Amino acid sequence: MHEYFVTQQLIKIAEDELKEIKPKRVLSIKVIVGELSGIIDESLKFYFDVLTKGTILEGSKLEIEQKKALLFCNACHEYFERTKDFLCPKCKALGKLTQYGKEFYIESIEVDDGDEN
Amino acid sequence: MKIKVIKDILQKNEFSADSIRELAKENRWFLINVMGSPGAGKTSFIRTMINAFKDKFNIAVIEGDVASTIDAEEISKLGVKVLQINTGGACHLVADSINEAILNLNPGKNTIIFIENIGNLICPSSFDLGENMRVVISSAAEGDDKPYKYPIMFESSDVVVLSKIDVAEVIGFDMERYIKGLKAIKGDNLNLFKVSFKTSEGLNELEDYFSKLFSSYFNHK
Ligand SMILES: [Zn+2]
Repeated sequence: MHEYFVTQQLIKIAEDELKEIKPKRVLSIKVIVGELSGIIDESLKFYFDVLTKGTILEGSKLEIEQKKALLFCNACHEYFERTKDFLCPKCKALGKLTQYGKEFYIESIEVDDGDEN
Repeated sequence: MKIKVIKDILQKNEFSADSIRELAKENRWFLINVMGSPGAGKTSFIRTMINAFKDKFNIAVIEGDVASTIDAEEISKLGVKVLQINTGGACHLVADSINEAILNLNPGKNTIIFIENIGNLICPSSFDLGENMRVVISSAAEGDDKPYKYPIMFESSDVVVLSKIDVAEVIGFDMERYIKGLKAIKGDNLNLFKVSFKTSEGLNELEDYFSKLFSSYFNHK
């Protein structure tokens, strides 16, 4: 149910962006979703198809790019992908959370604006 | 043609949360967003706080629930203003619903407002409610792996209350592992209280902390 609300927001933002441009057709919307954002891709897609009906986005494709969560090792000063106990695979030191993995934003919108070029 | 956007999808909620922050500042409200799994002890925490502070401060409660009004009824018996929000299935509260609830609740100036969020460790952490503070209630009964599984919930919280410590030993709760996970997430900012709402263990420390916090907030201009 989380995704119902966020999909509404997503559609509103896209509609605002497209107000000036008034494209013939919206081809796709690309969304970046971090592993720790709590967003389930399948739910997002489901609501996107349902909630875009009757909007300028109807029939467009929702592209989701997933981002892995990265932790930062205090000992080796390197990023590593989240492990079960947050331990660095190289030196077994405890890692800490970073901004990587929390992403949730619209990256771009692709439209057909009727321009042959 | 490709249009670059890069816009946070939760921005509308952020606007609404900002308006709550403004109202709170004007009216000197202190909003506490209480999060945690179902059964972790969110209502017990709020009940404990009400009993400890209702004679000293104005307190009001916004009860979020998927459908029932059981918690709201229980809290209203304690003699504080309560407003129930039923989300009709949604897994978290949003700032818009808090804005509306506060209007209906009419808490008056200088009030501590507890918001009991919906019971889960994922969704509520993403939604700013314009609160002054976030508290996560995490029970020993749920296991010591919670910080590793739901790091954002713990990262976004100012206070972690580990409840049901009376059962920790029986179920083999590994305190060291739990705290290690929290430290990885919170660093030196870890504000952990280990309590049992059943045996009252640890409640003095918890009440002490909030007593100081409320006193300094409401005595300051
Ligand atoms: Zn390392």
